[in-house]
Amino acid sequence: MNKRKKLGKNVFANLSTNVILILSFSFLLFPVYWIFTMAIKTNPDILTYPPKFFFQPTIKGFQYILGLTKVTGATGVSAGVESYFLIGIKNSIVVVVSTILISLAAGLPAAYALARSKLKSKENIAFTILSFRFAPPLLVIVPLYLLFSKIGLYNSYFSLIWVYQLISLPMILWIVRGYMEDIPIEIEQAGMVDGHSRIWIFFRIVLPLAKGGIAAGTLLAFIYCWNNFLFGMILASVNVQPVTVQAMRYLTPDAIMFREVAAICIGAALPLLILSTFLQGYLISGLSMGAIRR
Amino acid sequence: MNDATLKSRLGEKWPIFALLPALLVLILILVPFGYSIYFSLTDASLISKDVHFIGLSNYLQYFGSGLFWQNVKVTFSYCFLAIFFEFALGLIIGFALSHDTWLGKVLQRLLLFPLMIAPIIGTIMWKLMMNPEYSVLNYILSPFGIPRNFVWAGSSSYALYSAVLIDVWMFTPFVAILILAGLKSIPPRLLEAANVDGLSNWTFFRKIKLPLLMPYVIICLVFRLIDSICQYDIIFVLTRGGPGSTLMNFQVEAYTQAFSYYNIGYGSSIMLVLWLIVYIVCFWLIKYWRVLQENIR
Repeated sequence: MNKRKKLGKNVFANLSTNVILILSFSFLLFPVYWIFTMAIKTNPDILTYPPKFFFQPTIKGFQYILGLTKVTGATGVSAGVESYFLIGIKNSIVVVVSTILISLAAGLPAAYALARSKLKSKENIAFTILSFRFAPPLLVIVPLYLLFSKIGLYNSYFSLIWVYQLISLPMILWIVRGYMEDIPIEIEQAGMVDGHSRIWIFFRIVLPLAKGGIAAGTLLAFIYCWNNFLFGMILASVNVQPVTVQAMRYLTPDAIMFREVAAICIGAALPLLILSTFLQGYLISGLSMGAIRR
Repeated sequence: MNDATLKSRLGEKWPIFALLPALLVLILILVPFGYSIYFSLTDASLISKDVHFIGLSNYLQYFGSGLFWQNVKVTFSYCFLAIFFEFALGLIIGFALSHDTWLGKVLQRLLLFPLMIAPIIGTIMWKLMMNPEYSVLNYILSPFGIPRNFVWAGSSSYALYSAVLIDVWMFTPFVAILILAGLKSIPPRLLEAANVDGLSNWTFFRKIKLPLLMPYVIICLVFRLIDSICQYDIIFVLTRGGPGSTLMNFQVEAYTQAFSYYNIGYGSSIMLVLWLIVYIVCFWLIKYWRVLQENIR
C-alpha cells in the first residue's frame, strides 16, 4: 500500500518535471528552430502573417551568403556577390586559433607555476590575472585603437590576436591551474627522485595528467573568442574582421534581407553548436570550474 | 658555491621563469589601461591633435550632469531584471534536470545552445522575430493580448524589457548548468543519511542542499554581474542605446562619447567609473564566496 502510494507520487513528480522541461526548453530552443526555418524559406513565405509553419524549403539564402548567387549589373555583366560570410569565417579561424596557441604557450607554464610554487604573492598574481575579466573591454580598446592607428597596426591580424589575449589567457590559466593543483605532488616528487628536471616533469607528467583541464580551458576560450564582437568592430575593417562583425553587414536599415540574415546567423553559430554537443562534458567542467576550485 | 646549492637556487627561481611569458602578455594589455587613466584626465579627441591636461574636469562634468544617474539607472535596472529572471528560470531548469528523467537526459545536450550563439548573432535572431510587421513573437503571444503590430525595442516603454528578454534567453543556460553542477556535486551518502534520519524534504533542502549550493550561486552571480553591468553587444545591435537614451548603459554611453562624439578623454573617464563599480562589487562578492568555501570545508 505504502509502496504503491510512493510509486504514484514518483510518476506525478516525473510528469511535472517533464512538463516544466518542455515549457522552458521551448523558450530556449524556439528561436534557433525559427531562424533556421526562416533561412530556408522563400521570401513570400517569410513576409506573411500569420507566420507559416509549413512551407517549401529553398537553399537560396545559404547560396547567397556563400557567394554563389550571380547578380547581373547595369552593364549586363554578371558577377558573384562578395561573401562577407566566408571572409569572416576565415578571419575568425585565423585569429582565434593563433590566439589560443599563444595563450596555451604562455598560460600552461604560468598555470603550473601558480599551482606549485611557494611564492608568497602567487595568490595575488592569480587574482590579478583573473581580475582582467572585470575590466570593461572598451577601457583597453580605446587606447589600443589610437596606438594601433599611429604605428600602422590598425586592421591587422596581429592587433586582434593581441587584444584577444585579454579573453583567452586568464580563462585558460585559471581553469588549468585548478586541475594542476589536484595532481598529487608525490608523482612529481617521484620524478625528481629519478633525477628528472622540472621541464621534463612538466612535459611528461604534469601536462598529460592535466589534459582534461587543458581541453576544458581551450574549448571555453575558443567559444568566448569566437563570439567576441567589439574588438573586431573597432580595431579592424572588412578584410580582417571576424564573422560576428561581418554578420552586421547584412543588416541594412532600409531593406532587411530576412532570409540572408537568418542564413548567416545559422552559418555563424553552426560550428559552435556542433562542437558543443560533442564536447559538452568538457564544457560543463570548464564552466563550473570557478565554483569548484578556490 | 657548489653545484648543489646552485641547483637549489635555480630550483626556487623556476616559477618566475615559467610566469614570465604570461606576465609579458599581460603587460602588453596593462599599458593601454594606464593610457586610459591618462586620457581620462585630458580633453583628448579623435578629431584634434592637441591634448591638454584638464585634471578631474571630465569626472566633475560627468557626475555634475544628469548623465551619470541616467547611466546608473539603465545599467542597474537592466542588471537587476536580467539576473532575477535568469536565476528564477535557471534554478527551475537546474532542479528539473537534476531529477534525471529520460526527457531531461535528452534535452540536457541542447541546454547550452543559446550560450554557444554569439550575443550579437542571438540578438539579430531576436530582432528578426520582433519585426513589427511579420513578428512570429507577437503571433505566439497573441492569446495574451499582444497585437500583431506590437513594437518591442523600438518603443521607449518596452526597449528595456526587450533587451532583458534577450539577455534572459541567452544566459539562463549558464545559471542552469552551474546549479546542475552544484546539485550533482552533493555526495550521495548525504542523501542516504538524510533518508535514514527521516529529515523532511524542506529541512533537508534548507540545512544541507542550500549551503552546499551557495558557492555555486555566488560565483554564478559574480560572472552574471560582470557581464550584465558591462553589457554591450545586445544593446548595440538592438537600438544602439535608443530610443532617445532609454538603453544608454555605461558601456554604450562610453562608446557613443568616444566614437560618435570623438571625446576620447570623456569616454575614458566614464569607462574608469564603470571599472571601479565592477571591481568593488566583485571584490566583495568574491570575499564572501571564499568565506562560504571555507565554511564548507
